[in-house]
Amino acid sequence: MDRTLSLEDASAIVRLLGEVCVLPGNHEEKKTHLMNGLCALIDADYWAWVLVAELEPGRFPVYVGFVSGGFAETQLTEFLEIQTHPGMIEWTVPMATEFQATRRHLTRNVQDQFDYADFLASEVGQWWTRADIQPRCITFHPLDDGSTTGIGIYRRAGRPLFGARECRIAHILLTEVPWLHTMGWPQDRCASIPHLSPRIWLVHELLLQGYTRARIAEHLGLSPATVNGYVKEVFRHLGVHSQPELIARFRSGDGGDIARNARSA
Amino acid sequence: MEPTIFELDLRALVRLLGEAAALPDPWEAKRDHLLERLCDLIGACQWRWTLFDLPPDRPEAIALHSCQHVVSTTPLCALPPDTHWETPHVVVASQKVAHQGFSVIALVRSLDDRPYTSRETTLARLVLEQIPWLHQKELPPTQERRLFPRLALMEALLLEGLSRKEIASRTGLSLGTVNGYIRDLYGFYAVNSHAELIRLRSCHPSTSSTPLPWIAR
Repeated sequence: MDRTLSLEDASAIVRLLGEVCVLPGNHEEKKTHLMNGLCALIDADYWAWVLVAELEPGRFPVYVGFVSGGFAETQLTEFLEIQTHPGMIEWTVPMATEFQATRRHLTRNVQDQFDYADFLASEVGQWWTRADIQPRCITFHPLDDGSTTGIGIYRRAGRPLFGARECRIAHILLTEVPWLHTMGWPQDRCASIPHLSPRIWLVHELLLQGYTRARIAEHLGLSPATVNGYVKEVFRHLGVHSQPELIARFRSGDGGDIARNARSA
Repeated sequence: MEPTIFELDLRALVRLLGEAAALPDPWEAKRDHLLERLCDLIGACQWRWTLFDLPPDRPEAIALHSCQHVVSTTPLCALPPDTHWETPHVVVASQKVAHQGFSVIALVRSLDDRPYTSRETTLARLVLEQIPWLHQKELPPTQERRLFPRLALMEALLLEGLSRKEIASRTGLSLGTVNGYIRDLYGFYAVNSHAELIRLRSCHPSTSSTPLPWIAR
């Protein structure tokens, strides 16, 4: 297959990667720069990157890590909330099924996965629109331990869908740079992640993003006491005693987190 | 018709650049790696990078014949020294670099080999022309405000989730000293708590004070 891309796009991709090469900082900064650059190239507004421990068609995926760009603070909460909406599951089935059949890196525009008008008209579709976020393309990349990295690229509500060009650029950049997928996650990736209920998972993610309890209560419209209960639940599940400790648990890197876990176990 | 590149070729370049990005510092090692792999990719036998004070008249000829200005080169392959270099066997890119003069990078193919195809030339030019730092002796300084190394260490440890006591024992500093550093660090970012610091350093560039925030993960 002799598929081609415009020289202009190729130049922009080479330029972007050239910048990433000499960027000071760790791979997370590089990943962020690359994703922001990719979004600029295909005129997208938001991106989100998750590590999925279990991806079973028809069930809530078990997420582990979460990195994103472009979202305002309130949007980030809304985005995470939408992920826990039961109505979300059916829209993830086609892509999850296709991916699990081969476990090969896959990038798909949303309109090729399901009827986009139906999606927008659904309850969960309206949630997306209210948050001013609409999915455009999704990538799944298999990791050798059976887990999966998933990257979503989004535009603001009402903006055009992606064409083949946008999808292909995202696919090329995200398939050919392996460290983007393998670095920056907890060291044991998924082994230590218990199944959390959607509500607890949401609080867990917000704690990882550094939100205070008061903020979480405000964003989710819950009472401080309820949030405290959820937070306690998260800490109990993960065997930690404080928010900083929780964050440490999910930091990759020098192995400091493992020694800490061993102590607290 | 709009000029195009084969997806296969672009993928090879992306792979090569991704590898270079993952290499540890110094960045000069990334240049060596990138140019060597580019030579492999297009079938060149050597790369030469030459700096000039004045714009070179015939860059390809000068770059190949003047050895005294050559900053870095792979070992020369066995070619007679007086060979007349034909351009179909050389890809040359020259760039004017501020405060440095003119830079010429040449990717040379053995004369025994066939000339470069336009496909190979396009690939080489993409890299040589779109990556300015390949031509630079020094990287331009980054614009962002830099933390003192001690404060950067405190930040790294705080973002790792360590408490003040743990930081003190990890670094061998007294709790008072650690508290002082952390006060300075909070002042630098204008935050009031550990969680706030993490929140600030994990949000999107457009809402953050630094151009490329560290993602708290």
